[in-house]
Amino acid sequence: MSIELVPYLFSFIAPFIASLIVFLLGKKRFIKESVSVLSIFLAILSTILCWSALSISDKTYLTFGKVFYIDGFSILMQLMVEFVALMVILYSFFYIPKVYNHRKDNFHNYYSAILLSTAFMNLSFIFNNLFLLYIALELSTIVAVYVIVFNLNKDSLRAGFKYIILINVGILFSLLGIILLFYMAGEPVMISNIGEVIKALPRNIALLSAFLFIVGFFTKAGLVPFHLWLPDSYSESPSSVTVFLAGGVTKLGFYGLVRTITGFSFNYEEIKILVIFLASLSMLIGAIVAFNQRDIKKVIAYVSISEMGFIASALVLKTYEGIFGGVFHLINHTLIKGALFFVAGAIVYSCESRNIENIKKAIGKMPTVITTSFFIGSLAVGGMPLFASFLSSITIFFALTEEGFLWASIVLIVSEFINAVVLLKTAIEIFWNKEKNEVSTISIPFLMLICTVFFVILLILFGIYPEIIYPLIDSATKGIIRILS
Amino acid sequence: MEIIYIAILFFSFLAGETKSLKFSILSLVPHSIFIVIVVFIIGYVNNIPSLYLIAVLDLVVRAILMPILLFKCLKNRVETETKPSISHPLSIALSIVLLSIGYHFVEMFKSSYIPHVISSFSSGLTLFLYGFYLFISKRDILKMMISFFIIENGIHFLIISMIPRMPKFIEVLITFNFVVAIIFLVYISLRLNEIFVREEIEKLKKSSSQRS
Repeated sequence: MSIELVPYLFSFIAPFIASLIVFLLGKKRFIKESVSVLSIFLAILSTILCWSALSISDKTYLTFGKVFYIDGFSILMQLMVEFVALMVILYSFFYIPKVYNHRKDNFHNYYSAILLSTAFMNLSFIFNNLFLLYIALELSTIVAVYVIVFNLNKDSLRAGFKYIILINVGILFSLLGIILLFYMAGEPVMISNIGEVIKALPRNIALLSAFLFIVGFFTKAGLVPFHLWLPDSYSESPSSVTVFLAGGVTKLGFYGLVRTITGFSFNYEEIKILVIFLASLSMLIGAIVAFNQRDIKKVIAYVSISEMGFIASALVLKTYEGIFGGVFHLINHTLIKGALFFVAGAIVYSCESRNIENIKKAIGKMPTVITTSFFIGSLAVGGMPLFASFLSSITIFFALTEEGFLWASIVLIVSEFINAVVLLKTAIEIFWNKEKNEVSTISIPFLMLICTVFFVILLILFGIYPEIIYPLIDSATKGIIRILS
Repeated sequence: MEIIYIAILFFSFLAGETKSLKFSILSLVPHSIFIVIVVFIIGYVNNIPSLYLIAVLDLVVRAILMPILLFKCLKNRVETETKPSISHPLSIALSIVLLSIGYHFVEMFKSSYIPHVISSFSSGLTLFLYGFYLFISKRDILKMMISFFIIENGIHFLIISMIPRMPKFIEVLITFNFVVAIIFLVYISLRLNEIFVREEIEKLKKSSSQRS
């Protein structure tokens, strides 16, 4: 590795150094905020540099020694996490000081933990060795627990404990899978050669390893039946952190899934059927359970579980369209959840409650931007035309049907419909059937509104002009298929 | 070696099934010391000097640091286990069955299918399975941490038995991850204990003011 490669690695170096600076010197508001934003901008710049280097080269991937492996999918994941981290940090400038004022001495630790977790996530997206990927992935999970329990009340601590213990134990299964692969291959298993290793495995061992990876990465992604940590962590953490969890932390589970389980599903039909069955369970259970929730963030959390089922079912398909749809929905899921949880954050900011009954009593006239964003988010969850989620859902629908999983396509459509109904019902209850009729509009900080609107604008923009994002998704899809097929 | 493996399983049984949390944590000390001995012997017998480093690391982390960290969790709480989801006598019976028959079956599986792995494989897989059983059957926060510790020890054994010549920095990093996870768990547990104590004091104050 030469020094010229360092700018490409700034995607994790910048947030890592910034987290140290903020931790040590970040008591002053200006330092923690400016350093955090600057480091994320540097990380984005580094990822864009990588993208341009990949675009001008003939290859579909970049390797730095045997340590790093960067393809379109790594770049897409990095960009997504960096964008989410930037939005979360900007949103937190006003949200955290008001809602969590009792922790004002620890605000710098909050930013530091987000930056450190982002750094580890970015690192795991470019590691070639599966063991190192596992280590970075687990560290990002562990660090994120600090921001989940930031409120330090009984419920948030319980949610944090559940999160860390369940994910750590779950992810140990995937470590067992990596050990098994290493033992069978007789050499370190790299992302660049995992396709060949999987093909050479005896059938029983392959099925066993795939099962271990499914347990590990499904737990990390929060898919049924390993989702127990997700609703509590989403609802008890600050809304900005919830966006970080939905848009970043759970996406690591999908990254692991794509790099390992997709390879098994390319070679073994049983694995594909098992994953699609579990994904369909996620779709249905998430949508049905969301109906009974009275906590606005839990409603969105269960809808999120349901939507993640769409992604998982698509990412194990053997066709270009299937993987393309899954990757596209991965982006859309981040945008939709970003918009919805930021709206939930604005509601918590003004009403100081997450309970729908309490919100109805306390809510005044919300800014139109907030109500519109919630409605757009709800319609996007339903996969309505004009939104990017329409394109991804329809692609997944056709890809599933083409591969003979008509039943899964029907489950997808039904759960999309239920999800949209649940969210629209919640929106009508909160914004129309409110018990308080105030004439004056509630004041929500401008930056919080901007962050929310940004997610919504991208959702519409990618829906109307999908060609903006298509090259990146195409590169990611080709990257995935190249390794595994 | 067989006796050491059985001793490791016996002490993990004590750690998992005794009601006294103090005794559970103390049982982890001989459990971990035997692990250190096994790693050292495997390193010596198979001529893998890098395993000596892992043995020293295990001694510091698993036999000394972990019990100290877990003992910290006993601050501000009762030292008896919260009622588990499976009744205690049944849980003891299940543990004995799982550890003895599980070990026997894993040993049979090993000798017929993967005879080349190092002998600690059976003990490692049994520890992993037993730790997972404890994890789903226990409701006490500290017991769940102990079960996580046992699962991790099982994985550690499996790495050593299946890929003894794996680059050691990876193993050191995995141990580092484990330590960081335990530190965060201890932090959460301590904060929760503080909240429970505060709630109890408030309840007591309320009841005494009602009486007066």
